[in-house]
Amino acid sequence: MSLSLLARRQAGGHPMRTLLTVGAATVAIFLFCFLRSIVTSLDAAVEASASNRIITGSAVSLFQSLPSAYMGQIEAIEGVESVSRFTWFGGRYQSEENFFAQFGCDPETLMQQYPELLLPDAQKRAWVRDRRGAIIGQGLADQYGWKIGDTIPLIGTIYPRVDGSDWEFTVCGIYRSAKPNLDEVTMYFHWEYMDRVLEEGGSYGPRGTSVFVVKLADGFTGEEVSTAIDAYYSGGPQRTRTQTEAAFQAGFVSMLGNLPTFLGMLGTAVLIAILFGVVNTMTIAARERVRSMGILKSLGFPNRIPVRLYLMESTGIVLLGGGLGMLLANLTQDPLRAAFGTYIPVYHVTQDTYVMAALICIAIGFAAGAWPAWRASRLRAAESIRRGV
Amino acid sequence: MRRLIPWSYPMRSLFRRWQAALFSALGIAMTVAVLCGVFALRDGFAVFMAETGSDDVVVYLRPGATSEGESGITLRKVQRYVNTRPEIAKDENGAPLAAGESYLALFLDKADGVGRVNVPIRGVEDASFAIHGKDFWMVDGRRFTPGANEIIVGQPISTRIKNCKKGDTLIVNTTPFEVVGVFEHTGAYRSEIWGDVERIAGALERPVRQRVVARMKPGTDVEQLREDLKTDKELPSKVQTEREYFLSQTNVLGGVLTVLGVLLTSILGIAAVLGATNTMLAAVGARMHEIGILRSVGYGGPAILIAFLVEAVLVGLVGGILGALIVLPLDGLETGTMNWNTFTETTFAFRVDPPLLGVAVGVAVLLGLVGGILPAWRASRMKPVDAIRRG
Repeated sequence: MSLSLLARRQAGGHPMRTLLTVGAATVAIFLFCFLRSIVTSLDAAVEASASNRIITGSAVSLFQSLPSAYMGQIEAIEGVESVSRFTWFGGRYQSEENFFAQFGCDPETLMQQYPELLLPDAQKRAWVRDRRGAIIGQGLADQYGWKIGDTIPLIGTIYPRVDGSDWEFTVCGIYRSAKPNLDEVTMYFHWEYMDRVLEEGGSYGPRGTSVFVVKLADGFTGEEVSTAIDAYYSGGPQRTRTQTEAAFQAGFVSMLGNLPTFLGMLGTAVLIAILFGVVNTMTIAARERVRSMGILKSLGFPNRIPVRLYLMESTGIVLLGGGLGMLLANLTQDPLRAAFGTYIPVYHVTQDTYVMAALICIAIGFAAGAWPAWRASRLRAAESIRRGV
Repeated sequence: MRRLIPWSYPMRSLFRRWQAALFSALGIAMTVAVLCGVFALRDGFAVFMAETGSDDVVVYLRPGATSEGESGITLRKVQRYVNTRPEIAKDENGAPLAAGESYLALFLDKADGVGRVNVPIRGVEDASFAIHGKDFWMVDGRRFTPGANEIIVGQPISTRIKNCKKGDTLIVNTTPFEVVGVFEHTGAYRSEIWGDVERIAGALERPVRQRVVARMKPGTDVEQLREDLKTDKELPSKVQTEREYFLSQTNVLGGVLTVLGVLLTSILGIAAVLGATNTMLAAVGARMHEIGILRSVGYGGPAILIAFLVEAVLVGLVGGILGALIVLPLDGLETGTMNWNTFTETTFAFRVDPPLLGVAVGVAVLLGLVGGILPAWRASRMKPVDAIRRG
């Protein structure tokens, strides 16, 4: 009889106990994958960022707009292929609670600068033609049930309309994203339309542009062009900070402050809890099996046999539970992404997370099996047969 | 015979198998520690924000704005508020206790060099100090001189943010400001930088103010005021008391933390219950002989059931106490977390209070109890003869 079969039989000898421990491991490894994926998903946008785009925003504040006249000046700087404007709108749908990101932008330049934005040609043309048109991500369309042709009314917060009415945008297209740096829960509409309304006095709020996205000409690095842009505005009126897209995205993650650390602490606590659980099971199992271990020994099996048996059993239990936990983490990706909405638009469990989870399972399995294994190896055969009732 | 098994029985059983009991208690302890950790953060934040605001201070924003950052009030309108609103109280010299303040969250580097955070800078008027009264005090240095390029910073800002110690120079857009003092406030203003509104607005090239804040005359009907000003021709406003305003700035982070805490606890709780069930099943298994004897001397099934449930509850209780001990050191620990409503970093302390500890112990006992149901039920269903023979 092979050793692994014996280990399996031992685990199977108390099906209820083994099942409960497997269940606990499943839950814990799922939680670990979940918590780690929140952190990695936040970073995913950073890693997938394009290297041929840089972003110019205010150096002073996230909430400070830049004068729109900057656009022409930036276009004239060497190494700049195209510039497009993005203005954060901050509107709410129906009530203050329904919040998602909306930007006023330059549709044609946007689509040329962002090849990862996938939109059928007919929808592209329709959007460019319709001044009040907007495109929305597939995620938004799913969440609110919007279709092409629908009108989306938005309540202005930064830009409330003077007459108190809602802003209205027509859905011209529903885009998908080819890369995690572009989420599918944003709405883009015509910057020009918004600026026109502001100019005519139809809405309160600051005119200007939140950020300029600059596409680099071939042969220029982000660094040199960024330096040139920032140097141009170093004396004001509004200082700029130009960053690579990756650094810009990373800035948002760093604003979350200690949240990733906090989640890391929670993850550790979860793993410690599961370690206790498995140690518990193995200790109970070992106590009940003193006698059978004594028999094994008296049959002449060397010390390493009970050691291996316990390690195999506990690692097996944790790996089985962990495997189920990983499967669960994998299957819940879509619902969780929908639940996170705007906050973590690209929730995704990475391969690294699975590998780490598997390694942790093995480590916990060994740690939990080690104590009873050590005890078993120290037992004397005669004594253990006598003691184990 | 309807007798209960003496209380000492489950207690002693627990001690006899203390290792297994301790491990499952520790599992429960970690669960409630996670719950308490998350809720201590949430409560610390919410209580901090709620205690911050005064009910006698009114905040006027532009209609539609959900926070100061989104609001904008022209100087002409600020003057109108200050000079014409009848609900605004006056000081002993007859000057209105009202101020138009500018507000912007600045990108500033952290003192420890890791990353940048959004720190609110507030341009205030003389009246602002009078409005906030004794909730605000200087801990070091002096107030800024009106009209000078000087700022004062909240206590946590002076240690957490670069160039914010007393005597440092902080560049706002292109204008250097000298840090001349450090202040403390009982609430949210302690995470801010304050300066003369004219100088701050000038440096930021933002002529528009973000809010008007004022002390109200005693007995002002806020609800009525809110309704009146919502559709006012001259001064359409969103009216909130200061307390209401701060509370409205907590819902996103508070919501996120509540969901996170409940989610983690339910999932971890399942694991803890499974662990407790394991321990109790083993306890029942090892004591079959005893159970048989108890049954044959006349204790009924319900008595056995209760004895084992009590044992499980004791495991939960120990876990709850251990969990509470794990989180207790968090109480009062200062942390900076981004307020998801304003994107700014707010510094406050974790709050572990008796009600939270009560919840922790309660949840722990519940987890132990749930974990004990199946084993206790099994034990109570054993036939005396079988149990004695098999044990």
